[in-house]
Amino acid sequence: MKSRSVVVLSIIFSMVFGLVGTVTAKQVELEFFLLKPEVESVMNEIISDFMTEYPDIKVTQTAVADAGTVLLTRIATYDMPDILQTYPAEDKYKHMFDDGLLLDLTEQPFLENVADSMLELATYKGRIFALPMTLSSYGIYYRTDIFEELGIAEPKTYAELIEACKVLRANGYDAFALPNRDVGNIAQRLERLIGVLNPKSYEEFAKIAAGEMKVEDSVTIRTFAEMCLDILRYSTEDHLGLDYESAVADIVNGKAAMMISGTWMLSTMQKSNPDIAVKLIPFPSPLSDKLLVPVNIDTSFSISGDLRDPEPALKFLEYLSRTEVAQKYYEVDGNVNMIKGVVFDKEEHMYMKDLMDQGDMFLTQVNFWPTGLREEMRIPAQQLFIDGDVDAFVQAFGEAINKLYNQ
Amino acid sequence: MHHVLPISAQYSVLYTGMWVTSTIEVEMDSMAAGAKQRQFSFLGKKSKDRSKNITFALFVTPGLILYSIFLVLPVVMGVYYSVTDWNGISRRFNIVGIKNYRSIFRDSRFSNAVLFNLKYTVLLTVCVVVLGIALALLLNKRVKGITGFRAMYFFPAVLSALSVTLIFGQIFYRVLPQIGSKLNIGFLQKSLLSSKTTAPYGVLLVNVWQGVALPTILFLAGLQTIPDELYEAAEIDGANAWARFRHITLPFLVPIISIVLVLTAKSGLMVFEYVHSLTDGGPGGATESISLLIYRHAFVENKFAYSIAEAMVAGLIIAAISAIQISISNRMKVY
Repeated sequence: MKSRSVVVLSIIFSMVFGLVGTVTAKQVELEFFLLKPEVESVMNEIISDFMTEYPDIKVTQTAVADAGTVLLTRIATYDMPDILQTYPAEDKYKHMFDDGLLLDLTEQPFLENVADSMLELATYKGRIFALPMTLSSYGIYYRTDIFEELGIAEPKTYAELIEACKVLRANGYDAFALPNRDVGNIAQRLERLIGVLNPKSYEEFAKIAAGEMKVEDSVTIRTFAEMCLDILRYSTEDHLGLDYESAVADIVNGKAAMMISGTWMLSTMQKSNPDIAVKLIPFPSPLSDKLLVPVNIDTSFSISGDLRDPEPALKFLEYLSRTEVAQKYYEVDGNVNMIKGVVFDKEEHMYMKDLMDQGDMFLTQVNFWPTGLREEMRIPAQQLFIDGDVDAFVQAFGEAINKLYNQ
Repeated sequence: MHHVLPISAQYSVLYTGMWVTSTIEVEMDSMAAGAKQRQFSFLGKKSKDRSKNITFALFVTPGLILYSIFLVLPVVMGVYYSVTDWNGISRRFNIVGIKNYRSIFRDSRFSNAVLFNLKYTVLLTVCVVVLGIALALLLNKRVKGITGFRAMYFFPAVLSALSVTLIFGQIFYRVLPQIGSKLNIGFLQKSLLSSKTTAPYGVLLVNVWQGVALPTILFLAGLQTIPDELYEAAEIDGANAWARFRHITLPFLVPIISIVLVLTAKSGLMVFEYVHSLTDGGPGGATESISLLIYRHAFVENKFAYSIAEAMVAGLIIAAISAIQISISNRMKVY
């Protein structure tokens, strides 16, 4: 009797464990690598909902500090995450696709859920290697309450902007909070505002590199330098000591009334003051009266080209492309979401959205400049803010263009 | 000519400098050990020696394997990658010969960074040694509550460098200018980090504030080994305070000074987190150190091969400085 029960028990055990074993063996594990730390919690929620729908797929999110550097290190060591966020308009990710590190998604049916204009922006050599979801835009955040209090109208032209600066300064405000201690911020400002002045700056730079044009004759570069010095007069006095976080604090505390930044800054400001009265408007160009919005493809998802069976990862991307999932993501992210059917209701960014809908936008210059040009100009741009020497800045720009276009 | 990348060369970027330095130290130690070993083998029996040699070899092997994997191999790989045009992402790259090295010697950013590091290291070393000894002398007094003071002065050493830089960033921007304006001190009216002239000193101040804590404790430990009788005898002979310090305290502190010199010089030559967080190399490149430049070229500007070549050159410079320093401090040693 005893031996029979042992046999029965062992059969039951082996059946149970065998069953568990089969389930475990069938469950596919995928790693999702996050580049945007501000959406970590909402991505966790989305992943957990996805796993409820697909219990045979387990997705683990990797969210680390300085994610860009970590990702680069992992790629260099052949340790590609299965699913990752990418910026498909940028050179770095295009190179990755060229090298077969990212899966070609062109034929995937879920791309039909994305607006056509967005797909057009994300197309590279006729192929698509990312599910592009959101567009970030860049301009001036201004405190609407301060402008109202002083009776300043929203600036639509460069002259109106400078006029507003003068009134703000006269009333004891810093017109702009300019974090010029932060060289990364300077480089981004340089690249986005040069695009505002000339959305095809890369054509001009190519001419300079080919010797067909002198850098001294570049209206774009010279105007950029002069424009920076113009607004510097009405900005934070110790701008070279101001870092990004302190600049945001100056806006939230009402020390400064404007800051040049992108849509990602809204959630940071709202964390400090959920009721902050701000609005994002395009930076008006001194060279044209037409307002243009610099945009960049922001949140996008790609799949590693190393995956043996990409099916489960494709299911995850299909899930992310659904309207209700994208809507959930949008509520936290706040950028214009290009998945069809997502309702956009952020008043602070509505004006930019309207301009984008009209087509008054351009893809930011970093996507067309050679890799490293923006970074090469960090020191000369900061030097311009120190000594105001426009000619030296123009020369330095010329040297950087020659170096990077001809390398 | 295309090559397929076997593994990352990131170790090389990070470790080259340290490796070359430690190689010299290890070589010097092994030369000394070798000399002792030879003396020994003349005295001992051959068979005894063999078994001892096997024991020594067994002890050395694990270290040798780890050393080879984590230090020698990455450096060899580093040399290889430094003659390529690898961008850190692509699995295909070309051999470009010494092109990267030639570009480095023409690059003013690199020479400026080397110059910054050298000046910074000299200042850091002098400040840390002088301040460390001065603080240790004060903390060696027999006063009530001295243990509390000692703990207080050691406190900066337990904080993370990044937290310290974030706090000082705010002090420089928000607190010091207020004091500067009230007391009408010109250079303090703006953040120390805003001007090309004062920014290196701002970074140095933070580094010294935190970096002096550990040397102070080492000096304090050194001071406590000096017998009181020597001071008493000197006093009876009529030696004044300076003479007592010069002829008793200082000679006893020489071994510790040489350790502190090596440690501080190394941290000065490889300074990264203080500049990265406080100024990010600015303003206008005034505080761009070699380590920051290597990091930027690799991770921001995607010039991995170039940054590895820079790491190689920096490693050689650091090795040369370390060799000089070690030979000087070996001569100064009191046995």
